[in-house]
Amino acid sequence: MTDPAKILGPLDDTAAPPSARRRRRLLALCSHCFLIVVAVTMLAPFVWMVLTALKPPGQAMQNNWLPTRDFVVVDGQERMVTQRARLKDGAGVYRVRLAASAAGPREMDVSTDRLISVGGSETHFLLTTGEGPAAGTASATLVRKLVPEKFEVHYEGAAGQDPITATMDEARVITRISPQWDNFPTAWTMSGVFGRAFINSLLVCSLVTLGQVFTSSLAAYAFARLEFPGRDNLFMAYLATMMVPGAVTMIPLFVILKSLPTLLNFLFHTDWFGVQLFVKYWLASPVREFYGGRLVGLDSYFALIVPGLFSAYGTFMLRQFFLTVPKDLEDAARIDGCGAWGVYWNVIVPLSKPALAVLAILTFMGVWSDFMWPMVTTSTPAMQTLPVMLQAFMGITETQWELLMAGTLMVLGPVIVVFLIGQRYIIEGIRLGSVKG
Amino acid sequence: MPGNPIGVQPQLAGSLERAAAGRRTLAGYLFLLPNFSGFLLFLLLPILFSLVLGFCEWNLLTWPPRFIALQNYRRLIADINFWHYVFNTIFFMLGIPFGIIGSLMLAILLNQKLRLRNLYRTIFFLPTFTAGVALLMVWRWLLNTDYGLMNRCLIAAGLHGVDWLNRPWAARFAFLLMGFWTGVGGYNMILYLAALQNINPELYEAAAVDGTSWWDRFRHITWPLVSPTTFFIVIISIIGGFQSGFSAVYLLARDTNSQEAVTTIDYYIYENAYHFYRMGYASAISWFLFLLVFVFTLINWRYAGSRIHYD
Repeated sequence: MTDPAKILGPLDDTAAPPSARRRRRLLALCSHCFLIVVAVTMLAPFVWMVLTALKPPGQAMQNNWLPTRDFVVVDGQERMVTQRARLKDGAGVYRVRLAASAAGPREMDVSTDRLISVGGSETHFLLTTGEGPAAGTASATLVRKLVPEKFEVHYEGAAGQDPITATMDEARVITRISPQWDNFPTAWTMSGVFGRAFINSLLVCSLVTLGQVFTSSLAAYAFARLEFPGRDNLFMAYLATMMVPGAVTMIPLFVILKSLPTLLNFLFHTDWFGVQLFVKYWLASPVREFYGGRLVGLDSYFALIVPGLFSAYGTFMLRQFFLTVPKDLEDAARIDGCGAWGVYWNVIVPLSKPALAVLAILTFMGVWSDFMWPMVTTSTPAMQTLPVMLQAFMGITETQWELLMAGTLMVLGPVIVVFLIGQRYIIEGIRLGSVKG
Repeated sequence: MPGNPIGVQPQLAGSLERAAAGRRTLAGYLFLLPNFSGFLLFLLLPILFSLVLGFCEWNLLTWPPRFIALQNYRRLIADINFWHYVFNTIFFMLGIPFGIIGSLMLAILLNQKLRLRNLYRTIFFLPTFTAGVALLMVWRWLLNTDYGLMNRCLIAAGLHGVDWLNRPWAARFAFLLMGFWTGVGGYNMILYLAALQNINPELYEAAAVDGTSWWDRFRHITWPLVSPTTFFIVIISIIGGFQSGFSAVYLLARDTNSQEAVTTIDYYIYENAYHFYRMGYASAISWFLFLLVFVFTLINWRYAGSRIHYD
């Protein structure tokens, strides 16, 4: 493909002879070609998701790539085809939406393939009524040919509807690229808990991230700089537990959380811990209620947030970083009268911002995409986080891929935007974090 | 406390020092307290609980769990399904070397002075950043037999479409592909890029003067100098590989013909705990998983660790 000697070699162009320069340019070209192929492969699923999310109902399962709509020209205006069918003899029938009349929007079924001959004379142009394919047939009658391929037709419509006289073009279905934006609100309302899942995910992720960075940095400071009996043994215990897979702790943690309300009630002789939270709030005039899950136990914010508030890995990573902060600065702060908290808050935290940001990014990403823990601890739709909600949504949509992809895009969209805005910072942070830790 | 600058009496200095040490000790414990209480309650206690559960039979409904000694572990050894899933888990780890080679290759290409370098890097990292349930939904649709992108491409290329998620080996292959696509431009590539940027360019210049081939330069300069990174990636990938697969199996293969073929240890633990309510057996499996991770990491450390070149 390319000459990899050049890839690996130093890149100083100034003294190179023309032949070498030409080779270099060729090499850059080949590299670009290869990288573009890889980039297209990486992006293709995302593009495919967006294209599908914008398709009209049913079109995901047709062979076109772009979201399109068909139009038929009626009365000189393009009217959108809302439904299409094929007759036994192969003629295509399209249901078009006409302009709204006094009685509301009206639909008409047209066949543009050809005149449909009834009784030997080519007078009948259109068929079926406006109330669905099986609702019986009424036909529109050809009034006259205006010019070749342009007709005036008379459409009776269903009982009780006013007849329509319209002109239309023969054999002209116009296909245009036309995104179905309605898929997003449809998916949003169909799931029912989309907004709530967003709130849950944001709430859980921010609190876990804040809490974890805070507790881990405190502990890391203690391990790195404070002296107290048993410090190194405790640190070894932290290191040792990092080897234990998450699956080991998940089951007992689940069991503990499940029995926590009963246990606490028993210990404190109350029934306080079994309550469910309802928070009243006033946004507009009626008082609304926000279901806040149980206080503790399964189906609670407690289960989603509290076990994530500490991290052995985060403590370890931050300790390694804090060890590199110059001790002189700390001594200077101590002479200025700072206690342990003062040193932590005024020296360590400001100097370790990159490391803290790395832990924050990794934690947020981890919690945002976590699936198993929120799934086993929540069963009420109102308490689901985004991944769990999306999984449940998959069950409702069945073969309506355009709706599933619209939902998926609403979940992924914000993540992609955040990544594109902060990518330089995020990738740099991850690099720093991985090298240090 | 070196010296006695302010001329306090030695006795008093001693007690002051002791008081200061006491304060520091107290401060140490206080700083540790929030994290350590979490560590105790949500890590150490569950670990001990899980160890005990591994020797018990328990379906969550009765209390207390019934002690059955080593029966869970005996059953594990005789459980053909379990060994099948261990095989699957290890089979999926065959993707690791391909992922490492791909990441290194992309990193080498991106280490040139190219225009749009950052754009490429961003695009390659996108799947890793967005990985999760939503991306698995996209894959579910990509792999759809009748209308998915994969089969459309295959048919456009004049080949036959594949029933990806209903044929065991097709599903295995699809899962490998999915893992490769998600990870190849992710953390590993970023780590390799960092490692490559740390290599002194003079080494290549000297080698170029000697007229060595690109393969020699790769073999004798690049590969040894990135070997600590490779070692790190291998260890992390193996630890991660043993514990992976739950979401993918749950969202793509559950209740299909290929479920047996792609179920991993992680999913089997979930299934035992939350479908069959065999808490004891699930705990025993999770400890077996720990053992696997531990042994493989140890082997790595011993055999690969000695061959790593550190500056």
